[in-house]
Amino acid sequence: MKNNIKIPRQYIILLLIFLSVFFFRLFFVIKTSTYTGDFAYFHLRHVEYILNNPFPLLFDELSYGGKNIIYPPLFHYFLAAFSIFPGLFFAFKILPEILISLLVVLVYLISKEISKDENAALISALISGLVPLLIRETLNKASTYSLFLPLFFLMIYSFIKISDNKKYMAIFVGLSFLLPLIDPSSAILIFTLLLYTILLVSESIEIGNLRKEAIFFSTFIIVLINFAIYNSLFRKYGIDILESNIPKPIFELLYRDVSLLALIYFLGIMTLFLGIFGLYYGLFLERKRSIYLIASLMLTVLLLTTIKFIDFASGLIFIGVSFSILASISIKKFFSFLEMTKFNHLKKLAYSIIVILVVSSSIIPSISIAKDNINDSLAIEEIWALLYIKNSTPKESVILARFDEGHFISAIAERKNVIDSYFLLSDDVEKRFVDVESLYENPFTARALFLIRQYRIDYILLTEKTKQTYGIKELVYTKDKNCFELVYENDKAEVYKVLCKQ
Amino acid sequence: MKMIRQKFTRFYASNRMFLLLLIISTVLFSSIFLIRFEYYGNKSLFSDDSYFNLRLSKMIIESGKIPEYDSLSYGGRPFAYYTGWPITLVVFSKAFRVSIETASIILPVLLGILTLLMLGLTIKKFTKDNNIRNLSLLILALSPPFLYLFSSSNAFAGIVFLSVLSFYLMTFDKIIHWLIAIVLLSLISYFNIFATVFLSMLFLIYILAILRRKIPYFFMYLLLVLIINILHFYRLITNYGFPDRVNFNLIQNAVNFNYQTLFSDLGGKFGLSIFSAILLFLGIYVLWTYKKYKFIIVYSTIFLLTVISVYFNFIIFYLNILIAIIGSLGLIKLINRRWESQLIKNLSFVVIVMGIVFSGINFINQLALSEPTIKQMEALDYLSSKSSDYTTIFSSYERGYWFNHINKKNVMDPDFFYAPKINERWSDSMQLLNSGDLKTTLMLLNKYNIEYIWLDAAIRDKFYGKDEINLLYQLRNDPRFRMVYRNFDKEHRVEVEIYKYEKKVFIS
Repeated sequence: MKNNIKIPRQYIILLLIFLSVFFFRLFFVIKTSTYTGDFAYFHLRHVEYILNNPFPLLFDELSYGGKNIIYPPLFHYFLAAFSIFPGLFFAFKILPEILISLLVVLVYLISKEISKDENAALISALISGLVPLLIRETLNKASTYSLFLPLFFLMIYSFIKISDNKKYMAIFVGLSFLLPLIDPSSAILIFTLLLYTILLVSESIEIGNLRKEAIFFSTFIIVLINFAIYNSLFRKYGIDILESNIPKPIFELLYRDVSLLALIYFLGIMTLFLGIFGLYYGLFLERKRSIYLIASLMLTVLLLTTIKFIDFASGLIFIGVSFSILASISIKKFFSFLEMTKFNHLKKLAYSIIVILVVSSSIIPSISIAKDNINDSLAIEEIWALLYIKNSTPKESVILARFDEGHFISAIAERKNVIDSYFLLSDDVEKRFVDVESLYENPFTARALFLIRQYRIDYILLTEKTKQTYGIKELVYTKDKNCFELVYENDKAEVYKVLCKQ
Repeated sequence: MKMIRQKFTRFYASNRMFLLLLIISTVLFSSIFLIRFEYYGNKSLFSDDSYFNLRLSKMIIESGKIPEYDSLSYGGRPFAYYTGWPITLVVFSKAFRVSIETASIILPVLLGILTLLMLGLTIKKFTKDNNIRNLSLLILALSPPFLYLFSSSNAFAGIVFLSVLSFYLMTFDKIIHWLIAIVLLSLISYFNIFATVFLSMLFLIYILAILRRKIPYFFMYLLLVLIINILHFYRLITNYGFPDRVNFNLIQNAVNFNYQTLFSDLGGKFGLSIFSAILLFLGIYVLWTYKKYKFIIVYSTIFLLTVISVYFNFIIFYLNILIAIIGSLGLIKLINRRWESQLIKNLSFVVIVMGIVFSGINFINQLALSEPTIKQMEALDYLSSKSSDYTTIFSSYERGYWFNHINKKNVMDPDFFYAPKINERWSDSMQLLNSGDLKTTLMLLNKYNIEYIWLDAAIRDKFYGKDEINLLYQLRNDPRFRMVYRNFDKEHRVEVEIYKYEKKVFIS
């Protein structure tokens, strides 16, 4: 007898969606051998440290000339494990893209649970894979979010299904331990679950004992682990820890308020439209617990973004994925409505139109953002300059670079930087930031030398991006050949040696 | 003999967890000193109060009576201190033939264990459930306020012990117990006036709410307290007149806002742990679901104590006891309820216990690392050896006790009661620390005959942030100030810097 295993149609479509999203990402990622943004290099440095030592890097002697680092270690261990096999390229380039692409599967599962409509859930999955901001924040960046977001939504899914099967309880419990070890955004889950409880109690909807227990447990464990990791930061900064010691100009840029225009631009008009309708219908007409959970997540994120607990981009990612999930309700309702009309026979056409609308409204900004990400990745000429520094300067040298190039200096050039984008535990970050800006913008030799001596700078890295950022063509004071020598130059980067330090 | 053995066996069987807890708490208290002395190599006592009480005790021993004058504090002032704790230290040191330094370590630890014992016995009187008692004591023994209270030499170690002991005695219905209790409670008048007022009010509320028939005892207590205080203040007023009214506000500094001092995790010196707060909410939630308004007095007391403790930090010590009991009550009720998931039940219990243990151990480490640091002690040693006795050293008032400890005069210290010209000194100190005008700086330095100026990382951070401004700028750039000592921390940042004021430097 022939054993025919029939794979359901929706799983094949889901697999296709997953593969499309993954290959879309992969297409861009493999265009460059470098990463986008400096934080990927922060992770790289930590992973390389773990590969040589079993413990995480707690004191970085190259960051800010030497300072303590507090960062949840699990993501670094995770990448380190895959760096051993299959290798660093897979761990930093391919794996994060696989993981974040898996988000579509979780969105499908949650949407299916909420809408009970497989087609609608598939469209939701497609929407989530093409959220432009998600692409901007995770593509080619080896971001913690590539691991955190799928696990976060897996936890949400487990919570929805917790009373169905014991395995969901085990997943929920296990992830309660793991999530805070990946990213501090795990606190979002606590606030979400607490708000969810308040909403259900106020609406007189039974929460259920098992869910109460799960909320109680996860709150405790997430608080405990976060306190264990960030204890010294809480003592040092108190409630200001929320601002992560970020210098004011950058803080204002990162922690903007969420506006409708931003939502349209970063999430796509279709996602927003379908999501809002789904939220309205789900909350006020269906009154399902699972919808309250997603609504609580959105409200929590909005609130936390407003009080600057989480940054604008991270906030919008959570909102974007939540809207994708809620879009399934709108789609389902639309087709239920269609069934009651004479146009029911056009159902397939309507599906196609929705898919085309979703794809067309998201794919163009997504491609554009993906291209930008790749263009913003570290240029090969910049790598050469950094390798020059690594190979031709004394080991103790201090290198001046922009704050968002600091990790390049410590990870690739393996030299001390003046500032980098890990601002926590740096006492004079505000002053350093202003001084580094001044060193690039100010034309006066005396002022520059004063700061160069203060920070014991030996070399200055001047990249094309720095020139664009500060609107300069050159560092005027480096014309003083008695004090500065151009020791390396290519199309995109120059390295100056400071000669008169005393 | 057999009966005694049987009695002991029975006691041991029902109280072995309790005994184990007492042993654990002894280990916890001792570990603070072990870690500080042996692991971090800092052989000094911690907290300002320890140095203050150490010096007063030594003065009492040297003069053989309570001295009339203190020539170091505020450049010289009446000896108008509360002497309850220093005398206790002296008596303990004489009785057990140990040095005052050793007594400053052993006595608070001993009182801590006795306090736990008393609390254990008291809780046992109210509930037959040993788990509530044991868990309350475990939470308490691992709580930051309790660890601080009974590991540093401070008057509140004596006050809390006496009040807990008195309360325990009051649980008996015998006259002798009540008489001893009110005598012990009234002795607190020798330790601190604010604690006396606070405990008198608590005693009154307790009597009015629960034991109205015992009101004569309250009046007897009140009489005793009044007599002690009248005698105390009569001596002070007749000898030194009325103390100056303090015109400035001083609330323990928090990182961002004052309520943060309530929590040690957010920068409070001996605040509650965040886990205690979570346990408190849990306890209140359980009590509320159990019998909604029955415990309204408990909720209001906690609320009131929380608010007052921002202004009178010592109240945290009492609030902490209440939280430990309510927290354990909540926790036990929660664990005993029917859980849908046995896995979550077990894990939750483990996580909560881990949370309590973690915050305790973390605070022990924090205490072991607390001020004075090794670098601060090295700087004090330098000052002690390189300057003559009774030299005046200036810094923020928080450092005043340390300077007195090495036999130097300060301009101000944290004891404001009967401090001479307190408001003027406060204003001058603030003006000097924030002075942007060199003339003013020199005038104030001359006014108080200041020879050395001490600035450490914490003081610099508090007054100047990361900038080199005001007094700090003048000290680092004007030739009239000579840097005589400087040391660095692990990350090669300046920790302590000491400047000598050279009055005779000629500026061309």
